[in-house]
Amino acid sequence: MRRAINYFVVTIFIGAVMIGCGAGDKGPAETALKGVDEAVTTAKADASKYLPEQAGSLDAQVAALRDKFNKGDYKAVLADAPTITAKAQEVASAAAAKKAELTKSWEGLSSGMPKVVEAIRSRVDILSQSKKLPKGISSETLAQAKAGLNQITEQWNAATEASKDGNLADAISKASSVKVKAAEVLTLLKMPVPEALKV
Amino acid sequence: MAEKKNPDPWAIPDIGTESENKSDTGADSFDATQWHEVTKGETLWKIAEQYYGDGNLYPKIFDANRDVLKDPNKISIGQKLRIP
Repeated sequence: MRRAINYFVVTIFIGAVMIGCGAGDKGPAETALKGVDEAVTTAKADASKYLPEQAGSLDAQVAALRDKFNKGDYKAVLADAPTITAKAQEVASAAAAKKAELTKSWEGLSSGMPKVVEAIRSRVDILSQSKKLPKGISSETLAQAKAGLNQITEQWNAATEASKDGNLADAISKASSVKVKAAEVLTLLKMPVPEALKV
Repeated sequence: MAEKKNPDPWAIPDIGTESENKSDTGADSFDATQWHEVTKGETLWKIAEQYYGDGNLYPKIFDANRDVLKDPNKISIGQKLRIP
């Protein structure tokens, strides 16, 4: 009987020590989780716009880490936190690089495309005043060019709006359609197609 | 005066190397300006007729080239004119 009581006491003691050790990890784990949260929030500022898939992956990793914390697996939290923080910093750098690349592309487009649109508009206006169209340009061709110019203007306005809203990827995608259409209209009007519009 | 062969009316004249025409942002690679090199016997009226089908529209070309033309009746062989 005495022996059984001793076993019981020892078991209780070991259990208390184990619980004590786990509880001791809770504070550092909480701090680590907070650090991961901050790193991921910072990374997502640009990543959610420029690298949405990687931003989503970071969210999933943070959710898994929080789950481990809630289940009291503090050691796992402490072990995983540095990896996720490093990944968040990597994603932040990649997002910044992507943002710089898209910004440069958009700057080129926004300074160049208006000149192309203006050249087309000028030629369409002049040809509209002509009593007889030049060789190779029929009234149907001119009508097609006018319709194309309207589409170009509409699409370019949409691209500009997207850039104003900070959606550079969307703006560049819309501008690409404008480039294709503009090259088509320039060809219809027998005008030179600038290098930047050639595929 | 040497007889010049009629150039391709839609040809883009050599107005500098590609690198000279590009800025850091590549903006000049978007230049859609059409140029015409004047050949013997041409007038602004004829050039307007060639590009617009209507010689009466020659003032459009004259206005676009006021930096190099003072008189619409005086153009020189080899002159490069913008065709708006």
